[in-house]
Amino acid sequence: MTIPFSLAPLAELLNDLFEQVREGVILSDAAGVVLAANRSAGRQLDQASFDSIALDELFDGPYLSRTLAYVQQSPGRAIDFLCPERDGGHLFDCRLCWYRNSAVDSPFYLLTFSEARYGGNSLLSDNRRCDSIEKLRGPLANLKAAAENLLAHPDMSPVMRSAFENVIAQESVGLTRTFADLANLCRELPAGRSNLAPINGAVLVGRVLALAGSSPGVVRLGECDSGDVLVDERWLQQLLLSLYDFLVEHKISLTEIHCYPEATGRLIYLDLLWEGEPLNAADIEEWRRLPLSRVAGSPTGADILRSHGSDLWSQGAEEKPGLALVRLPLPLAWEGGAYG
Amino acid sequence: MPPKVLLVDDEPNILLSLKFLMQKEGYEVLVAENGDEAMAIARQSLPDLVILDVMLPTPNGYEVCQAMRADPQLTGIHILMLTAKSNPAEREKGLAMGADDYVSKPFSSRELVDKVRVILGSSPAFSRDGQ
Repeated sequence: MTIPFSLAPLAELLNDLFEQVREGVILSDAAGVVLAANRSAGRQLDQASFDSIALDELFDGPYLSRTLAYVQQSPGRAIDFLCPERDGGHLFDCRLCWYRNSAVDSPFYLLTFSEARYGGNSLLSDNRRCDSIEKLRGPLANLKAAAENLLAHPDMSPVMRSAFENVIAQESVGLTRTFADLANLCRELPAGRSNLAPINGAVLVGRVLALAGSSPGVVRLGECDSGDVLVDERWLQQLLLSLYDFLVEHKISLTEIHCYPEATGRLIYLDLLWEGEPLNAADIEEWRRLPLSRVAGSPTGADILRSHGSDLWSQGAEEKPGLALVRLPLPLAWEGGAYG
Repeated sequence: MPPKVLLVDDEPNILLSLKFLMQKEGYEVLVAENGDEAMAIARQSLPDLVILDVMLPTPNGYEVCQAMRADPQLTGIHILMLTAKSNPAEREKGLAMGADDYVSKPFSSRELVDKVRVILGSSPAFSRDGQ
């Protein structure tokens, strides 16, 4: 947009707007020292003054520093990410941009943020709702199996007949209770607004590798004719960074990444490959249970996977002896939504 | 000798139904209520098929499946996974861990019996024509 008049007379109005916006807004210099911050930033970060404060004194250092380095590669382009407060008290939904412009003397960072209550809680609420629905499957299976056995085998012994009749009675009571709990939960939980949006799988992976500080060219991007996946980009980014760090801790050096549709065409497989043996299922379970941020109540890897109807595992690479992989299936996006 | 089927589930009500069903089909049935017990019974009795619930307490069904596939003594055992989850990624994960097939709860008894017959029909230990 080109503004057809001088902004100078509007400086006071713009300053008022800066102070009135609901989101926190911080401008900082190239070293990350705060130049200006609005009232909302002060309120959210509980800061009376921002004089001589650096961004990494306000936000968690590792999360922030990798993102500050990343945006310098693409001036004017914003990145969305999640970042805990320095003391881990709150998680913020952030957007960061790096500006280099001849109109200003020095380049600067522009950071806008708001507390990520909605994003985290919506995912966990959706998970609770889905988990409650899934809890119906066990009792239904038990009821169905007992009823089918009674009907298919009318000549069974009285002892077996009595046992199956007890199963039906017991599971009916349990099912009724589970259904009532689900109905209460649906009344209690707010309807979630979906944060799912399409993003090219290869773009997501490339960004994560850059944020993780992986040297360009070390990890080869192969088979990335993938189309878009439908995900909550911020949380997927967080999950993939956590997974990358976990693999590094286990002395795994990624060599290739593949991103391609699986046979049914409903999922995209994201395969992270390395030379060596697959991770144990127990190691994967250990990672799944890790919170994705230091903030209390943060979703775990398992929560984020479940909210995307996904899971994650490690196996040998088919057709590539000597290579192992972690496979993450993600829902394929199509115009209007995901395949259900 | 009839094929041996090891049932692994921590829910007694489904074990009751599965045991009845498998015995009606003429199989010898063994039962375990957790993953560690399943591994011990599998090593001792070498079943032809394990019907394995995914949602076991630690170790879960995926870990048990992977452990069986990694054990040279047990690699020939067929594994049919049972799950109370519905998303397609879970099915792919089970197959990737080494399961031969996968059934979602609630299942039809007929569907389960048919899958077991197909799996054990491929086992040299059993031929229904020769029963």
